[in-house]
Parts: sequence; C-alpha cells; structure tokens
Amino acid sequence: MKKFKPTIVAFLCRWSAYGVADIAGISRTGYPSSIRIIKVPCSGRVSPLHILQAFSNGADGVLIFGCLEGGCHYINGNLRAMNRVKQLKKMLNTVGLNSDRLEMHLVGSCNLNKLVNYMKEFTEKIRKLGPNPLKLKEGW
Amino acid sequence: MMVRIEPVTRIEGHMAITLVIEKNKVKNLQVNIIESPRLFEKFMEGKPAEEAIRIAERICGICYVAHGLASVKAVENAWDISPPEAAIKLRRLLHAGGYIHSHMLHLAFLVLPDILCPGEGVVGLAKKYPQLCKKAIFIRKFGQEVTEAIGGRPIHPSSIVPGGMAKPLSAETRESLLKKGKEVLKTAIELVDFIFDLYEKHELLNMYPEDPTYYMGLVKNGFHETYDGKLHVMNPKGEIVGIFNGSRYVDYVAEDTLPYSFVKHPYLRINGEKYRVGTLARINLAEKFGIPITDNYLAKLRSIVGRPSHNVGAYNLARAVELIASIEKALELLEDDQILSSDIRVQVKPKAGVGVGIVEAPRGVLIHHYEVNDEGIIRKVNLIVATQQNIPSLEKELFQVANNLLSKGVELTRIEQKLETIVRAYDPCISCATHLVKLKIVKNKK
Amino acid sequence: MKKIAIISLMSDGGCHIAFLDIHEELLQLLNQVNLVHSYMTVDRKDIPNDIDVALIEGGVRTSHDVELLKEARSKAKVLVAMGSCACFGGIPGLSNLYDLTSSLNYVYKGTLTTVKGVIPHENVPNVIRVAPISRYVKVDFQIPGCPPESREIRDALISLLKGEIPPQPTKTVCDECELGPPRKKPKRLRRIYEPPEPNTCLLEQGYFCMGPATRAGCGAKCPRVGIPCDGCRGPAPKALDQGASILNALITLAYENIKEFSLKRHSAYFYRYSFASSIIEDLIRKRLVKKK
Repeated sequence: MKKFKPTIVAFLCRWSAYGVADIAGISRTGYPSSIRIIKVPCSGRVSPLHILQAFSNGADGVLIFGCLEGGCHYINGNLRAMNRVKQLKKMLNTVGLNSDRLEMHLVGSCNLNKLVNYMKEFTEKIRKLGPNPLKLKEGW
Repeated sequence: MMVRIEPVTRIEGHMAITLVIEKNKVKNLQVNIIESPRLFEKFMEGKPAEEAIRIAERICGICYVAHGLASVKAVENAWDISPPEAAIKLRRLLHAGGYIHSHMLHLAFLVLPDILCPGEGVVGLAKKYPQLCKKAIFIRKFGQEVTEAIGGRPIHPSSIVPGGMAKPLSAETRESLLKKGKEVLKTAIELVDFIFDLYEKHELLNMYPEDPTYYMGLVKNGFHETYDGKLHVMNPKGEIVGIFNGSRYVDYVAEDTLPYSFVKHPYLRINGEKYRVGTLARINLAEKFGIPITDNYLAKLRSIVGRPSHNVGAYNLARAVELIASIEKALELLEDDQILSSDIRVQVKPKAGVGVGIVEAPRGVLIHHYEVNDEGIIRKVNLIVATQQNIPSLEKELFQVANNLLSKGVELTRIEQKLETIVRAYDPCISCATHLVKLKIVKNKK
Repeated sequence: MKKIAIISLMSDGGCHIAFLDIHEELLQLLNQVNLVHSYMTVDRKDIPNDIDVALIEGGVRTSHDVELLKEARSKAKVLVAMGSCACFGGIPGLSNLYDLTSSLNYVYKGTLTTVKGVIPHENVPNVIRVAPISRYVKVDFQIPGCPPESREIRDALISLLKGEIPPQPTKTVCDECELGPPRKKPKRLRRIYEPPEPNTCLLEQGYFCMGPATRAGCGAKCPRVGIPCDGCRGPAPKALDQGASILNALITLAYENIKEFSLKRHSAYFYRYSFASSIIEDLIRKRLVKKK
C-alpha cells in the first residue's frame, strides 16, 4: 500500500513567514514537500472562502502563518485571521472535516526552527488523520 | 386508456390530471400535484422564529401577505404577545391589499379568458378586450401599492414583526391611497357588474357541478372575517357543527397522504368527510360583511345561488363580491385616523411554547403551527394551507364531470378544457398546496 | 415578432407576479412580442421551438424540473435565470442542510395532522437536492432577486430582445441604504423582534444585515422600514459566496461578540437565498458522492 503523502496548502505572510521559508530553502534546512506555499500580503488576506475552497479542491490540511502579536505590518490582520480560523474550525465538523485539519500559528521573521517544526508536526498530524474525506480523486 | 392533462394552465402552480378511461367510463381520476415539494415544514426547523415570517412568505408568490400574517400570529401566540390595535389595523389593511391583487389577478387573467376568448389566454384577452384589461390592471395595481406602502415591498413584505409592525403609515401616503382607492372602487363596481351580467347572460352556473360538502372558514360575531375570529364548520345543509380556535384545529383536521400527489388531502376528523374553504365557504358561513356596498352584492349573490351554495362556479362570483369587500374595507381602514398611529409595536421576549396562527388567505383557511424552544428557535412546524383543503372535492367533481361528458359523447379536447375551467374556479395556489392538471392520454390496448 | 417564454420550475410564482407587476406596460409588451409559453397566463402546454428569450423562474428540485430545463435550453436562443431560486437555489436551498429522505419522511408521514403516511411515488417525479439552474445548463444571463424588481425584468427583456447585454448593478445594498455605513463595531447581536434606533446603521446596532454582501438594485427597501436586509438579491456581482462574504466581514468587525456560529441556525441569515450555490453545499455534495 502506497504511503499516504498529504497535500497541505499553507498561506504564508510575506512580511515574516514567507521570508523564513525562503531561508529554509536556501540554507538547505528544508521543509516537508507536502507543504504547498501561497504567499499573501498579510495573513489577514486569507478569507474563510479561501480555506473552504482549498478543502473543496482536495487539500488534506490548511496551515496559516502570520506575524507575531503586535508585529503585523497592517496592525491587526494577524489577529483577524486568528479569529477567522477559530470560527471556521467550529464549522468544519458540520461539513464532515476534522477541525484539526486547519491550523494557524504566529511566527517572527527570525524563527526558522519554529516555522519548520510547526510544518513538520502538522504534516505528521495530517498523515495520521488520513486523506481529506471529501477528495474525489488522488493526487493534485 | 389513460388520459393526462399536463400542465393545467392558467392556475398558480403545477398540476396534472390523470384519467383512466375504460369502456367509455372514467374508472379512476387522479389530481397529480407535481409541483416540486420544497419541504418548508422541515427546513424551517432550527431557525429563529421571528425570521420564519419572511421565510414563510416565500411559500407563495401570490398570497405571501396571508402567510406572513399567519406566521407572525403563530409566533405571537407562542410568545404570548398582543400587538397594539393600530398595528392590527395596519395588518388588516395589508391583508386587504393582498386580497385586491390576488382576486383581481384571478378574475381577470385566470377566469375571464375562459368566458370571453376560450383557448387564447391572457394574450387573447389583451388583444380583444384591452379596456377591460386596463381596468383590471388599474385595480390590481392599487392592491400592490397598498401592500408596498404598509409592507415596504409589493411582493414579500418585510415590515411584519412579532409585536406589531416595523413602520407606521405616513399621512401623505394615506392621502394618496385614499384618493386613488375611491376611483378603484368605482372601477371595481363596473367590473363586478360586468362579471355578474356575463354569468347571467351565458347561464354559466349551469356549466359547473354542484357538490354538497362541508365548509370551514373564519367568522367573527357573524361577520365575514379574514384576520381574526374563530373557525366555523358548516354541514351541507347549512348548519354550524363546530366552532374552534387556535391549537384545537388538531381535533378537527387530519391529513391523508397519497402515493400519486405531492399534496396531502385534509379531511374532518369528526366524521372523515372532506370540506371546502375559500371564497364560497366564507360567503356561506358569514351572515354579512357589515359594509354597505358589499352587503348589497352579497344579497344579490344569495338571490342567485342561495345559502349555502354548493355550485363550484359560485366560487368566482363570491370572489367578485370579496374583491369589492377588500376595496371597501381598505378605504374604511384608510379613513380611520388610528391608521397613522406610531404606537404600533410592543416589547417582545422570546420563550418556549407552541403557537398557532390562523388567517383566511384569499384561497381559504391557512394555519401555521410552530413549536419553539426557550431561545425562540423553531423546533417543529406544521402547516395546513388553503388550496390543499379543496383538492379532495376537486378530484371528486372532476371525476363526475368527466364521466358525465364522456357518456354524452363529448370529445376529449373539450373535456380537457372543461375540466381545467372547473379547476380554475377554485383559484388553486399549488405552491402553497405542496409546502402541487396535465391530462395525459395513455391509450391502453383494448 | 420575437418569441419569449416564461418557464417555471420549483418556484412560488412570485417572479411571474413581478413580471405582471409592470402593470399597464404589460399590454404594450404583449403587442410587441409573442408570449408563447407561460403556464400562469397562456394556455399552451408544450414548450415551442425557436424561442428568442426564455425566462426560467425557479430552481431545480425534481427530475421533472431537470427535463423541462434541458428542453427549454435546447429550444431557446437566450436562457435567463430569473429570480434567486433560478440563480442560486433560493430559500428552498435551505432544505439541503437536512437529509432528503428524513425530510420527506417528516413532511409526508410525521407532521401532527398527518394520519396515513406514504411518500408520494406514483405518477410524480423524483425529488432531488435543490440546485440553481446553472448546475444543469448553460445560463446566458441572471436577474436575481426574490423577486427581482419588475423594471429589472422588463429592462432585461428589452435589452436581450435587441441583442444587447443589459447593464448590471455593480454595488451592494449597503451603498443604496441611507442608514449606513457602519461606523462602530456592534456590541452585541440583535434579533429583529427588538426595535432598532432610527437613523442608525442596522449592522452597527448588531442586526444581521446582509446589506454589504448583497447585490444592489432594490433601493434598500427593507432597511427603509427598519428591517435588516436578508440578502434576497444574492451576492454582489464579483463575489463567489454570499455567506462567506458576510461571515468574513462580521468576524472582522465583531469577533469578540460572535461566540458561536451554527450553520443550522445562522444559515437563516447568511445563506437564506444562496445556500444551494454555496461552498458548503459543494462540500456536502462531495461527501454524499463519496458515500456512494
């Protein structure tokens, strides 16, 4: 049996997490290849619709990374995103998705290890949860 | 052979009629309501009760005012609220507006073409009788203007709230409605006289079946009533055999489900008999209207058809009388200074309970029954809608008429037209009836 | 003369009435075009060929609706979704939150007054999930609203008959409303049985007003009588999902105050007219497909 390789959509804010991910690439620390990165100007740009669309299109997990509290370039975009994620997790169960498939973390622009660890832990969690029950075809 | 009329046209909603004919006799007739069942009684569960009003209005695109009023009455009944008198007057005025538009639509567009230009529908009527159409449109437009003035919108009003109404009527609007209303009444009198004359000239009542049934409708102290009062049940002899209110309707009404129709068939629990509702039922049940011009027409109608009348064609004449009544009543309410009051809303506190709201929709008795929890969220819904109560009688009458005409050797196309004309007299509102006449001819091999 | 037809699927007839509410203009219109099919006003039972503009009233709810819809599409040059049921599924779309079989069981067997219970199955079509007509056929133009404004139907017809695309509103109800825009965050959620303060934005006061997420064109009639907009005209022209739009806005505006969000209850506000065309409906259908 082929080992399940999750597909995870990760929204990374360009002011912190995206830069860090870049460094992870350059410094050969690496991050799990399951993670597909989408750069956003602020984590606050991510709307509930984007998250639901990701799941609808077959993502096994969705990760959002924003700036540390007090560090958002647009003042409170990160906090808004945190609340969206909080509300949306409650709703995921209603449509048959485990709310653990959605997660958000706040990271600073220097914390390479923290970012990569979050990514590795999340990938492992999703691998254990199994593929998205709503995914109609394998691969993406 | 099987014959299917599909769809029955010039009614509101989707209906088919299936006849099985063997050896030149109608062996079986089904009224198939094929209207897509939307299942309001289920999806209203879990919704805040005060939002049910605007949702329930969408049960019907013609009698939405009636649904809105029955719904708010059910909520107010569940929460023990009595709205102020001025709010009730505004609701009665809104109700009158709904009757004017609905009855005029039916008489002009759904009935008159059958008499004046059979087979050509409204398009034919518009070509051959443009002045008549203009008058009907003028009257109907007034009904919609009243609804818009009180309800905020001409279709699916939004100002009905538990506790009263959301917005008072301005003095300006009241003046302009009064002025127009007086002209409308004159025009309506001309039109109703015309309809009565047509009926007499062509002896139209003879073309409709007689069906001695029970009747049910709201009456208040003997007066014709559409908003309040108690439900009265009359037997075919004209005797009142039951009077009840609110949740006691469950003791009187039961519904049968049928495998061949999306509409359930109600009947009287007390004796298993079917009953009719609507314009003729209300006219049979009420002593009088209490407004002079209408009461004259009522007397005229009774001199022609008697009381109680069982003639299906009398439904149309009764509708014409109610058209006059709605306009006269609207003018009476507009003339009452209390209609301008701003004391139109009381405080509301949701609580757990059961509420029943009963009104007379243009087509008959309408019952909304909600069970709500302590947050004021709906747990359960039961609806009895006007038209479904007439379907059992309609089926029986169509069966009789079809048989009658077949035995006389009338050809199938004419029978089709005839059956549809009878359906139209009831002004069925199928969207309501399904919360669903296509005469399909299936030739069995003999 | 050009031929127009009004074909009704799962509908309450309200859009037909909105069409007739052009009142005196109806007589002129009937002289200029050939109304070849309209079950409420014309006696013709079948759908004729070579229709120039077909207005479809109502969404899809039965197999019969699908048949009629496909027949209309094949016989019409231009097909228009008229009304929110045709465009988005409408209020009956809320029925898709519940399992179809248990809903049919309740309505036909389980209500208080129902005595003998049987789910209709003879000479009647199959009941399926509520859907906007665009799920089954290509739609050339939409006139949303519950019902649409009469003049919108008339203007769209006139343009389409000339071969032009009718202009569409680009703004939201919020832009047409005199009470707005909201200047403060709502302090608590309010239900409409509480009377509002006059001359103040309803969203600001805490009502679930769909104004910011609803297509303009009605003149904000409901806020004008002090009742929050319920979104009957569907999403703003560029928005994909009406409920997600307003949810996003409300969480942003008042996240401290929305403690709990329940799809069953709050769909009455966020998805009242558009549930059947929402992302949630999409996810539910995928789950149902997988079950098979």
